[in-house]
Amino acid sequence: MSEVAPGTSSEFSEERVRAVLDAHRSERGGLLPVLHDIQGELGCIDERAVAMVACDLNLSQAEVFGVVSFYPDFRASPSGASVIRICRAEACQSMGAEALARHATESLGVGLGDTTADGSITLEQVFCLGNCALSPAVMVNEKLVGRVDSERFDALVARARARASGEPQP
Amino acid sequence: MPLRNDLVQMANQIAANFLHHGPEVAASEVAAHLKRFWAPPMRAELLANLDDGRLDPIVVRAGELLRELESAGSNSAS
Amino acid sequence: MPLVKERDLGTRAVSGSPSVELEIDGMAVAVPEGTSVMRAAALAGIGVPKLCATDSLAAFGSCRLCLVEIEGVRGTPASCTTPVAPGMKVSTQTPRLERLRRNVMELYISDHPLDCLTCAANGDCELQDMAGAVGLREVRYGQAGQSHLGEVKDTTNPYFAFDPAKCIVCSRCVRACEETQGTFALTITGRGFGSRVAPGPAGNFFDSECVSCGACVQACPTDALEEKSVIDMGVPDRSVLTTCAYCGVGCSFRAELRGDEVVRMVPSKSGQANEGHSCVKGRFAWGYATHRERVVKPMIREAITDPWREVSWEEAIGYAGSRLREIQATYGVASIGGITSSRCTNEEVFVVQKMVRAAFGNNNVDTCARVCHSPTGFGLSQTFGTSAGTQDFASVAEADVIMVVGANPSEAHPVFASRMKRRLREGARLVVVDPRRIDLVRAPHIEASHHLQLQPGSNVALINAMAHVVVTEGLVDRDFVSERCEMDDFAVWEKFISTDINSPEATEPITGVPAGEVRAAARLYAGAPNAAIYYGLGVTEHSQGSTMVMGLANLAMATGNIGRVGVGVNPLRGQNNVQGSCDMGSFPHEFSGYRHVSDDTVRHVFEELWGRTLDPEPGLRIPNMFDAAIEGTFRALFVQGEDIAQSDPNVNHVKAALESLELCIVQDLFLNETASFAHVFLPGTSFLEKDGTFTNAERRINRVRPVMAPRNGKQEWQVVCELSSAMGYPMQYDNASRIMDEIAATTPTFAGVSFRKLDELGSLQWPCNEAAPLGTPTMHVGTFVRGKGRFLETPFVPTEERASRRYPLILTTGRILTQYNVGAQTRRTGNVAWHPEDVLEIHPHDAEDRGISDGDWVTVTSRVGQTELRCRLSPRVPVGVVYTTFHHPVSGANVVTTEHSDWATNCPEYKVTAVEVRALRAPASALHRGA
Repeated sequence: MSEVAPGTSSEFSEERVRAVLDAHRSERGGLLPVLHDIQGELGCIDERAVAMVACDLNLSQAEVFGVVSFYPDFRASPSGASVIRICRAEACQSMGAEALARHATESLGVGLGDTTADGSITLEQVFCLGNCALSPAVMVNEKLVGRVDSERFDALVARARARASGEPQP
Repeated sequence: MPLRNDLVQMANQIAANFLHHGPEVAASEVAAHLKRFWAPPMRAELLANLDDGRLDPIVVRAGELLRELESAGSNSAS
Repeated sequence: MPLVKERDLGTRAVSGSPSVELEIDGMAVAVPEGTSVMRAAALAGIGVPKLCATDSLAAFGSCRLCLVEIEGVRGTPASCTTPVAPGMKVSTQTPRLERLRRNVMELYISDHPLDCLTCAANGDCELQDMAGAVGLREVRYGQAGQSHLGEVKDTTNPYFAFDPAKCIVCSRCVRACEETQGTFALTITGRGFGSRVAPGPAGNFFDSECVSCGACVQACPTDALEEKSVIDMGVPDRSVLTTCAYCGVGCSFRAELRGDEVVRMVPSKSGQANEGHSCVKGRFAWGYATHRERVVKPMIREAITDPWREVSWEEAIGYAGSRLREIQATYGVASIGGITSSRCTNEEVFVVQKMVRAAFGNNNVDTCARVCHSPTGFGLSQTFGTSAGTQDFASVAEADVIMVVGANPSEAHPVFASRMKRRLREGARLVVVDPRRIDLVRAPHIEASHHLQLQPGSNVALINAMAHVVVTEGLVDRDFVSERCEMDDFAVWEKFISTDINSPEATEPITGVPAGEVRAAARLYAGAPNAAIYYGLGVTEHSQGSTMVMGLANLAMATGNIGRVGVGVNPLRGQNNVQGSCDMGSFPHEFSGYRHVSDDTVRHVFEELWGRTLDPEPGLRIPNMFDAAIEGTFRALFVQGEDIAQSDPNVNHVKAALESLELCIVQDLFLNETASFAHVFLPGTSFLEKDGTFTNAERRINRVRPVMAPRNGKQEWQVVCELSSAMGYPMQYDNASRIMDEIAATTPTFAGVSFRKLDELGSLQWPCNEAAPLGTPTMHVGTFVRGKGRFLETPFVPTEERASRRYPLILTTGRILTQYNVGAQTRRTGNVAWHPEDVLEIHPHDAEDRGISDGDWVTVTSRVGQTELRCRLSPRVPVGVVYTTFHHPVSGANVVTTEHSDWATNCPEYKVTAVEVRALRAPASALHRGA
């Protein structure tokens, strides 16, 4: 379900957006599939991609932008190499999610929704990952992790950073 | 004094646009058009210079018809 | 007049008879099926509280304030989205509803600043009104939580500001941009509490897709979208209903004022041309009326090299009158003439042509329509019998196929374009005939089925090819033709059009349009239940302009697309009163109502009334006047509100003509280019001061009411009357309505028109007379004005202006949304922010061949002149064609346009000029050109 495919290039590429648009050419109401694929390809849907999608689907840029902004999983700028989402819904809150969120923002030095200066981690909040039995829940890229406390969180971060540095940065 | 360029150009252009009627009908259409839309000094200038070599033959013929129209008109008016 | 606030009935009107009977708060109401409960209540005089509903937009049902109780229905449905049903019993006010509404309001207000006293919308805010209406007394939630109060105001638009803190996210602005304007420039970003109105990804209004039509500002119930003039000046306290003076759409506006200062212009829902919509020009660009450069005192000078000298009205008029008479004494009666303006009222135009015919004693009167729509007059009167569009604007809502030929409505007739776009979004098909890929070809939610991208100058070949397809493929509406048209003429035409030279295949090398496309477009047009043609100056401003108009008329008649709603042939008039100035008899060969001066019966009507013998011969047309001036036989000219030294083609020739005059009298707001050649300057009035009528492109006569006193002290028609009187022909009217009475008395198509009737009915479409006392929305119903429709052969006679090795490109000209004509008005407003200069559009291939990059300065050279422009690389123009606008005098587009003109009417061929474009090596010279 995540649109963030870590390690994908986040450089804007007209050719790659064009290829996605061509692939969906025969579909009716293809806006969402197109946006999913662009984000999958490029890691984000920036203003230039919005303009191309709007032009191709004969929509206004505002309309495409409105859809992109409606879904938290679509992003206008590239994420860090990894995305960590902390669930702040009711069940997780009752099991310490707020403290976990505080720890996360303090230890990473970023706010919710921001990316660390080294580009390794983007920290986000979600409201329910459907993992309430194992609250508080966190999702690291595509992987769901339950019962996360500060220590476990730090370990997840360390692993994500190692992975990031093991791969060439785009 | 030769005929003013703008008059030559306009008259020939009108003739070109009536040409499809064939020369005789075209000439009478041109004459009627000039009578209806050209101010008398412009018509007079044209009529005074029908021998200007630049005029389309249809215009020349139209000029002759116009001359007849004018004299008929001046008879019936008043 | 006190401030008029138009009633808002909440949801759109539904047509039909009031067949559904229901009871609201115990009152019996009958409304058409499909009407909302909210609207039914409003019609019964019951106002249901509302925020997201407004009667210009589809019901949305989001604000939850308009809840009602309906007997037998569970819950409390929103009255805006609930249609009426027979026998329904509705309560709009119960303790439960009161509680619910108060709670909803409380939530709104908990996230809204409580700064009503210092808010620009204080007293003009629906949120404030509703808080009062629901009896909100406390806000329990406080404002301590996360809120939007700190958000940054967007002031990038020159005319309005967006303050997100004041926004209640009712989506009215977003919906207005979509439904009313059709631009889709606004959206709601984010979700939940983070929802926010945004002008797309640009982040601010100015850089967004917004076209500044003002529909969002109009729709906003709070101060979130507010006119800057209201922020600066305060809420207006009186209003005057009047008519916009920009394009031929003729939108009705309420001028809202404080004292004699206009605070804002608000489009009127009662205006039948615009129905509450507006564009950036009419809505916002009216500041020129009080611009500091406006001249309000008469001035004279002996020679055009002398400085101007301010004089009294008496001296200016006396001087002008005696000079005109002296010149006539020396050079003859026919040595002087006048030009009327399509910017002026019918009454002002009528008195000028009367002065020329009766006081000057000749027919040397012409109008600026000469250079725009004179071929429309010729072509439509030859085929249909009168010179006017056949439909009202509303007709487009019934069209199934719309063909737009040589017109760019989204730039030049934006409010009509919005109507057209609405119909296209509903599914009507579109054919665009234009060398340039205009906005309509493809815009959000709109796409032309066919764009016939023809070579400039090949219109007639193309329309003949379309007619050829109709005739040879058996698509002629035989019943219509045999019943409604002259059969002999049809037979001649049919034979002509069927010949192979007119086939799409034969004309393809001329037009450049693939034959298959032409065939498909012709079949689409001919096969539609209702097909409508809308055309502009791309049809008329050619050496075959008149032929093309006849070609369009032929096509419409052959397919039976005339004489009912949804069809027709419609010229989109460029200026506010082109239709009217033509109607008023300002052509040298015609009296008002398009009656030839040689018609004795007609002439005698005027001779009797005016007490003068009138010339039965046509006078000089504008280009003839220029040529005669250079020749020396035409010596004096009266120019009413038209800048011929900028707007007419081959400006150097025009200037030479003006320089050779002994006397040039200019009546205008500003010292324009033409005034540089004038000896007498008579200050004119802006539309905000005028009293009279304008007639728009749908023949609709609208009242222009004085919003403020004339800054120059006199109405323009008074000045003309005084000049005529000074020449020994007294003209006197008590007021403008008396002039209309004279028009009505002498002009059969206007016989039923009077100011009183206009004030009563709002507007009237001529013909308005005994046969049609309420006017005529659709013309040629049942029978043509001339009796039977007349087909005319339309041979393609190419222009002599052709591309050559020296001049390999064809220059064509057009307009841009934010500027208007020669820019005399719009250049003096905030609109320059969008279009500070004219630019030359050139195809990237042509640019590359010439080593030109985007943004370079270039020279444009034609056979008659040269000018310098900045260029923009654009695939909107085809290879071989360049395009520019003519709004700025400094760019001098008309320095290069030639004197080629329409064969029948002398309408200049602005649309085809062979040019060469070269990169300007020293761009500094362009920047240092003298103004």
